[in-house]
Amino acid sequence: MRRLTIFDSCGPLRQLLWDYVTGTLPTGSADALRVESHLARCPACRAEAQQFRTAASAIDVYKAAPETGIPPRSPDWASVQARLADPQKEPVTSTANRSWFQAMRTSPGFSAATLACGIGITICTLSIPYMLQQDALQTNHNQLLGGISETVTANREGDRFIKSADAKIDAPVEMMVRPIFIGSEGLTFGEGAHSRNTIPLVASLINHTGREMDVQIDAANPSALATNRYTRRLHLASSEAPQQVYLYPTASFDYRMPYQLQVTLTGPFPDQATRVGYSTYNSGKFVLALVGDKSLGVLQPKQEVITAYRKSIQGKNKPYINYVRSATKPEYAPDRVIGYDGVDTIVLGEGAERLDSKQRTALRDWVMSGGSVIVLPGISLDLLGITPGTPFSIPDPIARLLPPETPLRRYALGMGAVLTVGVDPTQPEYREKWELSYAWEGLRNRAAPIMPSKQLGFNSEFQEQSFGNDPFQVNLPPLASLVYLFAGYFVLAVPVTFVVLKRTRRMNWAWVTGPALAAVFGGAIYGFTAELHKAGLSRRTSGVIVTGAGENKARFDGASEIFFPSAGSYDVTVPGAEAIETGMASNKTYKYSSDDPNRESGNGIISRKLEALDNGTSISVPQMTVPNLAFRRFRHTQPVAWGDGIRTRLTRSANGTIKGTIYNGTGRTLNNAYILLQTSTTKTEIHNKRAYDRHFRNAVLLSRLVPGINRIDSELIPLDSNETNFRSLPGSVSMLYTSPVFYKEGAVPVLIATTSGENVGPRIGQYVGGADAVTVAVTLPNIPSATSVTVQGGVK
Amino acid sequence: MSASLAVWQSKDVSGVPLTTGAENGALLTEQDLIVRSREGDRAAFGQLYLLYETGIYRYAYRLLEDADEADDVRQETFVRAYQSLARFRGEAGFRTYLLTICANLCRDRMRQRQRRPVTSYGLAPSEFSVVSQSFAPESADPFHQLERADQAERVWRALRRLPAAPREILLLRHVEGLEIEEIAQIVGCTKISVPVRLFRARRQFKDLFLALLQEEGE
Repeated sequence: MRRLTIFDSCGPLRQLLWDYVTGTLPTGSADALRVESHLARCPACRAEAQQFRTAASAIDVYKAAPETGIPPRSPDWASVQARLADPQKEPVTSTANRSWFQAMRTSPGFSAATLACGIGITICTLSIPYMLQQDALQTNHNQLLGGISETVTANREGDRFIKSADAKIDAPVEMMVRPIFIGSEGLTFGEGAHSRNTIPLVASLINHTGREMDVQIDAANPSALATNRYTRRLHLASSEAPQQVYLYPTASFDYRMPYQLQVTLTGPFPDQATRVGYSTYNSGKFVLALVGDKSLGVLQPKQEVITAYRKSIQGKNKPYINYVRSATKPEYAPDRVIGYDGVDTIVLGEGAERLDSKQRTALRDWVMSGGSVIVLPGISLDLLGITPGTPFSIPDPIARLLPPETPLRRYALGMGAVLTVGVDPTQPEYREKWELSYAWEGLRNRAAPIMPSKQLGFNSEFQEQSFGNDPFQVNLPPLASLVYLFAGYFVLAVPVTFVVLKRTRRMNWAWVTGPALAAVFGGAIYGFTAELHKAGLSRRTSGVIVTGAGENKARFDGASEIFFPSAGSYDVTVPGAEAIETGMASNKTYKYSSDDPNRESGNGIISRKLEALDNGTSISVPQMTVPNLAFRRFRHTQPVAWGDGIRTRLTRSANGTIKGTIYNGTGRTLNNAYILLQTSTTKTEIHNKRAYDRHFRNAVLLSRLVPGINRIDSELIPLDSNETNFRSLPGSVSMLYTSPVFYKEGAVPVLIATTSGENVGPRIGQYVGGADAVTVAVTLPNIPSATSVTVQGGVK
Repeated sequence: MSASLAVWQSKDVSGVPLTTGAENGALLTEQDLIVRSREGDRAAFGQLYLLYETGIYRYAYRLLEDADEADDVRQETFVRAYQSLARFRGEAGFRTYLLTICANLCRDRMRQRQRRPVTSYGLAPSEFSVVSQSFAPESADPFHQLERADQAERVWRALRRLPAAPREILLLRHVEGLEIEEIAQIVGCTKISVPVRLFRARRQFKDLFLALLQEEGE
């Protein structure tokens, strides 16, 4: 105990011991005296003082040899000076005092490993088709010439073509190209369905060479901005007579440039080129075109006539003319429906009887798909194959011009309509009448189709439904999440790994962690596209099929998408197609193109360069070169075989049910079927695009129509005014527009259904579009009221 | 012309100019060099560097026991000293000023090292490479010299066993010979706590040193 106390009391003094033994405490000072006296009494402190003395003297020795234990380093003033000169400069380091980033940069193992896995991730990212959507629809023009067997030794001398050394021929093959529809202001073409612009041309070729040969005609806009190229190949006979061939180039009209179309003839001789089409009428105006020998007359009367008219009506009902006129000779009338794509109403005038059978069929098919024809006196309706018995008369609203005793008759024909007129307005006596313009306007209003072919807008095509192993349903991550992933890798994963490895002094493990990280991140990215890698060559087709009851032919207008799992060159052919055009689609529906560098984009519309090879009976895109995991999309329109068509025997009872049978002779199962009933309207709407609306007010739900006879007994459901239940109807019907119906007799029931797009698209790959990808719209005969009325509980 | 050039260009092996425009060849005091350095005369600062670099390097090495790191600290110390020279008011000596910077840097390094423990490979330098170069001038006796070198070596080994804080304070007091106030400034504590810390450090050192002696005796 005592010892402890002494020890404790030693405490403060012991702090002075070292200084005391080294003589730092001034001798004779109070502290020194206290220590001395304490040391005399305390052996423990004496012993410690002795130890301190030893240690202190040792430190003195150490101090005298300051280099002890220290590896020499020569002064490095240069480094200091360099940093003083440039404060931004990084320290000149040996190994330490480096930030992790600097250290990482100079750590070769880690850098190499990081780079390795960075490359790995990048490769995995490339498996996503964002970057792979290169434009691949460029076919080598020269390759097309490989099909021409004729070889003639030829060279050019001046502008003349020399077939052989001694024979000079001014023009071996003459080609004259003219637009089919020519208006007073040049080539006239209107906007077709979903903004398609088909410019129908007729080329007349005369072969002076005295030998038959294969030639090729290309029609394309020479502008680099143009997106489509149209190619037609044909065999030229050795005849000196003109050989006529139709060209239907479909061009994406671009408002950024004046429209030009360059037509090039290529054969075993120097190329010939001609240009057509300098002014256009793609202004949303209504195109009224005459097929006949005369002209439509002066649609715009002289100014004084208009002024006088306006005075007479005192400004009421200001005339509004919103259409352009156009005409073609019957010899040049289109031989395919697509030729009428840009026309709203056709007027058949004198000379139309010269239309050949192919042209007549094309015209009729066009009306069936939603065309509108005004037939002038002298032209038989047989030309259109209309069976009399279904017309109804419309009182002549323009009695000032047309004699009242010649009523207008309207015939329904599929989705379209035919109007017969008793008086020919093209006769000279009407030419200078101010009413002429309005007469045409009134006539075309009354010839309005039920569902205009131009208005087959169906942006809801390719509705998102899953059909098993369907590459089109793979949801690729948005680009932003890839950016986050990369950021996570480079900003988070790499530095964290580095810090961990650095702290654990296992930097060479980077060769393990690097690939592991790459596997994780790359695997995540690959996972996004794993479904695409699994999918095979597949396609889907969506669109609308329209026709009338009893017709054995229908018309398809829509689009197809093809998924190519592996890169290569593919011949894509759509059987029977009349036009293939670039895949116009909205950004929303075409999700894979958002980063396509070659897209033509404006107003959210995407199109792609496309070469259409017209084989006469089908259109193909030859040698479509695609990269891995590529999606390609294009629109196409063509006739569709329709079996025996749809026939109905339906009656409407007093209490609003519809009974009867529907014979489905199409050979297809029609799903989600229902009948829409048009209502007539008294609105004096002008028949232009703005007037097209959904004039359906009642519906009958039928469910499925199997091939054969289907018995119907369904109630009529009113469609509400704000059309919410109309829009909820399946298929693309909500995007179908109809013309206003002025007369009760003109109201036509329309059968709507959905069916598979398997038989209407390109024959390539597996169809994965599902059983409801195509909407069917068929006009039906009027449904008469039941003749027998049952009176409940009473006597008849 | 050539004479003045010779003056400007005369440099020692380390590349530091010996004199920089010293008027009439007069010797410059440390204070002059500091003033000139503060005015941006890097050559003058170079002289200061030459004066103190060895001390700073050794101090850093004694704390860090890593030549590369000590080298870096030396460089960094002088760069920072130059950059903040304006704040140096000469209250303490220039050496104290440098030591303050250097001690701070060393402390930073050791703190980093604690976060990333260093595993040293092979033998520590002092255990194989250090052959004492110490030859005390006052004694020509080689045995005596050898004995002193051994003793210094022993002290160093004891110091190395000492934790950083007591080692630092012991070095500052007994090797660098600083006053209590200066130590308080460098270590960053109050003047009153320095003697207590010093006492503990001395005691720890003494115990370690005696333990070493005993080990050798056995």
